[in-house]
Amino acid sequence: MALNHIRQASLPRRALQLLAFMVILALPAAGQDAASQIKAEADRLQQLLKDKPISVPGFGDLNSAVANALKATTEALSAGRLYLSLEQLNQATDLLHGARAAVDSAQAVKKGGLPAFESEWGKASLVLAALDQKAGERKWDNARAAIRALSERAQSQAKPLLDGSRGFATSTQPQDGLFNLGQAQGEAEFASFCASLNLPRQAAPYPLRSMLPELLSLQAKTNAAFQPPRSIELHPWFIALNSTLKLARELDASKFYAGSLYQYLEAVGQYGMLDAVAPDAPRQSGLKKAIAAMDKQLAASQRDDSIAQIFLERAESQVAHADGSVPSTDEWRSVQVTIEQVLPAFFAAQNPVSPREPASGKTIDMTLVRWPYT
Amino acid sequence: MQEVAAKYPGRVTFVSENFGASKLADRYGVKGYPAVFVDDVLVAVPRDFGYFGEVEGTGRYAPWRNVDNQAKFKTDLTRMIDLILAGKKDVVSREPAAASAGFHEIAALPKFTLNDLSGRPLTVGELSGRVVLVEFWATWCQPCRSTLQWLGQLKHKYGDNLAVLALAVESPADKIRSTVNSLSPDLHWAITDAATAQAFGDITSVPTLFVFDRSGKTAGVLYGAPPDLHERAGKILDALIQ
Repeated sequence: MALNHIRQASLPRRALQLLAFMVILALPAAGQDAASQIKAEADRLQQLLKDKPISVPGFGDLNSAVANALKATTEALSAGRLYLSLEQLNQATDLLHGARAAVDSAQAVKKGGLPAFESEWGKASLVLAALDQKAGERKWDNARAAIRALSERAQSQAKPLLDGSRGFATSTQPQDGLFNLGQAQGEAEFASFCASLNLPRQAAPYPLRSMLPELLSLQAKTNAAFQPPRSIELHPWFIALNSTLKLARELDASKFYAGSLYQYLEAVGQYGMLDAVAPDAPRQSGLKKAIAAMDKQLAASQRDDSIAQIFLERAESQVAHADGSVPSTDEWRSVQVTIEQVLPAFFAAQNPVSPREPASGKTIDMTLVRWPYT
Repeated sequence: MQEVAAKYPGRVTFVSENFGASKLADRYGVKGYPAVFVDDVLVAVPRDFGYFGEVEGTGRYAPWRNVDNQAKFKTDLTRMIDLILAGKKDVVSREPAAASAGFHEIAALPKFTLNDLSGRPLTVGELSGRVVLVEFWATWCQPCRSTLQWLGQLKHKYGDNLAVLALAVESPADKIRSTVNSLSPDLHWAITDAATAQAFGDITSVPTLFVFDRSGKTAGVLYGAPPDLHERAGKILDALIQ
């Protein structure tokens, strides 16, 4: 979607090298299944972390955060939760690239000021623009909707992170924009990685479509819910929810409908959490049974319901910790929202919206040409 | 726009395209943003939403912060969609936006009279014989800050061969002065008045950079702050200043 406006610009050599690396990354490894590919990528990042540990003042213990995300990736893989492992890998990739950019270019940008940052930004922008163009040309005909959704979401995150890095650099210190700049590259790299996964769709395609009616409806409900005292007490939750809705609408406007559905469901879950109460013991037992039943239903489905699988895997991991510890109250609330609201929303979204005047059959696009960085 | 599209589920799809990468905008010669198309017909141009130094009432939906103007835009958009869905695209094509698609780009450095920040008159005459770069900027425009810093470097590189005018729009005077104090003093700094902004044509975004050759002819106009802005502007200047 974004960044294409600069694709005709010439690429500096370093940018070309990085682009070539990311294109190679996007090539499916012959004979390797998706789980092996994910494991190999997690191992690669782990090795990078080991060879060159991160230490960024002001960013807390990023080393541990990346290591924990990579550990969660391999644990999810071991438990057979492939999509959850990808979500964890996404987090690790994002953080690692952000931290690496903040460390590696900090001195040069501190010394050179805004023009030095602008130079870094320009190089990264050109690489991301080229990747963004590739993303728009990807053929997803044989891919699972969940993989497409994860890739589209990550690709669409790259743009606001890139934009945010520039804003942050100019508003604070030039070197402060480097972390977001690295994150943008990490998201784009993860999107390419998803596209390289050897995980063909084995069931009928899910009927993806624009989620705009549902998104606008949920936005209206969110706006109505933003009243004191909840708007004050749950302010961070509302920020997260609005951010997810914005991303979903961006994805939808780019016709990235798998990503749009994924983020719509994410928003449904976040909205549900505003009111969710902790389930009691009998209800917890019922939720576990519901998870098991849904697992069977999705496994037997003749249609690609992999986007629902993303949320089901999350719920499974929340009630069955790898270390045997007891789920937290918030985890139970989240599981309840997933079972009672998110998954039903997924199944409801398979129905086409009713055209207001179906007799005509004519469909048209309405196009907004806008500045890509805001 | 998404709200309007939602009134036509399954019939109207909202699409977002980036300025600089829109074939529709290219086809109509639209040089700024935002621009709105229904099907392949241009229904709103950048100046409809306002421009710097605008004459009140000339931008159909300006000022955009006015809810009545937003409502008018939605009403117009709905009418255009209904017409096109009814097979009356020719009617929409005759509407003002489509007819005025050609973007007005000035051919030469316009005449203007401004005072610089120290109160000294700044006129076109004193720029004659030099390559002139004019940047319209604002204190609230984050990319403008790095662009202005870069303009200081350009001035240092080209010396008296280049005159750089940094003209602030829609910004408080105290913030303009504090920004200027932290940047290059070698530029000509001024606060733009409406007449000057109008003289430069449709300034609908910042930064907007104009480059004029030694005879005052327009050598290039660059809108926004894309990643290759410095490279593109540098090429134009290098070609003019040998």
